[in-house]
Amino acid sequence: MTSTISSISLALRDGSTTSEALVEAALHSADEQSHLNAFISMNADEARAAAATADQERAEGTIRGPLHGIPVAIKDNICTRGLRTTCASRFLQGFVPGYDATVVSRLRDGGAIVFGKTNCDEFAMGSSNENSSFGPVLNPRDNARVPGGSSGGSAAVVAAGIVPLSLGSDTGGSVRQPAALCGVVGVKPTYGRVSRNGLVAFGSSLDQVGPFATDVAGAATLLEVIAGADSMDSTCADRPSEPWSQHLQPSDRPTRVGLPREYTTGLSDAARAALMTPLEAMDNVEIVEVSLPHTTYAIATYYVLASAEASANLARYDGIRYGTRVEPPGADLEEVYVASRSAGFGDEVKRRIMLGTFALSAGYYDSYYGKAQQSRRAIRQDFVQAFEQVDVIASLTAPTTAFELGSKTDDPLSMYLSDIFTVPSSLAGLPAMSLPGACDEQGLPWGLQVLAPHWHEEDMFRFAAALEQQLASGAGSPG
Amino acid sequence: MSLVDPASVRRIAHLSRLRFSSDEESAYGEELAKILAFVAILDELPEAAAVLDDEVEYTPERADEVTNPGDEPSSLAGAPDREGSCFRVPVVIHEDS
Repeated sequence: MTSTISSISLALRDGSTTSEALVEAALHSADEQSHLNAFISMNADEARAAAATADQERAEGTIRGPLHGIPVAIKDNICTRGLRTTCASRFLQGFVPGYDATVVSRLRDGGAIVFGKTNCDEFAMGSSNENSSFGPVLNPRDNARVPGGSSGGSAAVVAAGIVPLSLGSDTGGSVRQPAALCGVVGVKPTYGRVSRNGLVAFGSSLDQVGPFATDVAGAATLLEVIAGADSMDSTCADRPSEPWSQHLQPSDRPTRVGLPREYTTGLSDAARAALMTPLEAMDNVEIVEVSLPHTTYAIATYYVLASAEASANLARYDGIRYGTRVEPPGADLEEVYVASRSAGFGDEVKRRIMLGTFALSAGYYDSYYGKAQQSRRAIRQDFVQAFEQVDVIASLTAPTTAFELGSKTDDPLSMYLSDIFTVPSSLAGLPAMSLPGACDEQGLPWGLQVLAPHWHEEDMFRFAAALEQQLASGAGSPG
Repeated sequence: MSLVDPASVRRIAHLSRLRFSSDEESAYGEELAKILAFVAILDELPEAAAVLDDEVEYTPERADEVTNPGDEPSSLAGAPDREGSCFRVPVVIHEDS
């Protein structure tokens, strides 16, 4: 099922397929590609029942929305009522939420089918999907390589053609980087565009739910369904969703595209060509060099702030109210906390809790957390100033294509640095997306990232659609 | 204090409600020391970088009303251990305390 949402919708409309057929094909494909380890939980019975209902409604003339009858996979850190939500952690391996995340209820209300829960890095902490308690996900394009992370399963199931759409979450690049490494489209909306209600919290000032799709229009359609104000999340802005998928035609006036010099310095020739060749081949585009001078502080800033927020957010996992409890004989309350947390969390989660706790501890708060907050404001200001000169900013999504499994697991810092192009826009709260560019000599796709000013998803999607068209024409592919 | 020394790792672990073996203590200590050395780049941030003059979107106010849906299963459904309508917890106050 590598089709686009528009082609699937057309086939459903003209009767050449049904939702039941789509779900059966997706279940068959998931089974055939189970070696990818991309799903943690399937939802086969409910998906079949929902497909039958969707077909019945369609026959009666009821279409609930643009995703009516289409299967969507959900990252396993987004709550689904009655369907376990593990965050790829031993701690939550048996946790079954009593409610749907707002994004999931909006999908269900719109007639979409919750197909299954995808593997990811534990509590969304990672860039390779190797931190999952359920084992790593394999990249569908080369099974010896990582799919990226943390939403590696959600990227892989779309890239493998199992389902046409999925949801992930992006804190520092966790939708965009796996989209890049797997060769699909992935979007991180403006912070506050999509409700976080029911998204298991990691870095609350950064987390956003975002869509994966095979093309720009599909990602825009999925975002339309899940975006908009929500009284259950006070950080969700009071702004309605917009019909982004209807406004993808090229703009009449030239688009000013910013190229941050800090993102292009030191790129290999191949990486530079992957970025520049399609941009330079586009009509009606003016390329402008811009500067984001505080980029050099971004990774340090992100790992202090995200870890500090994680150490506070993950304090709720104490083995008392939900999750796994470890209770040694005669243990008191404090010992149960310590034993449950020590057994339940994996290495990377513990590493970040420790870093975050340190950054927030007495005597260190000002020099780490305080300084990182100051840096975050400077990074945000860099973007605000850059967007005074340009409409969108373009860059690579990641400094490399998909890397080999195990090649960075012993060096947390080198893993963190693979997020250098995605973290700054997360800190600034900007809308950002990745779309597949040309492939390298090994046939692995480069990801191209498009950033826009706050709340300007329309400009981002419009330019990404033009870039996608340029790449499809073949005129923008290097070599 | 350097985070690399075992006493400091134990202190942060205690605050985090985590426990490590002595091998883990030294491994985490070394990794965290490397990460903190990297993070020290923040010391080079110019003081003047702290200015923010763009528009910030504030959280909208809303009415202070109870809006719980009311049909959700009890939060006890996910409890690792329960007794009747309560979470069962281990002893909190010891007899000798």
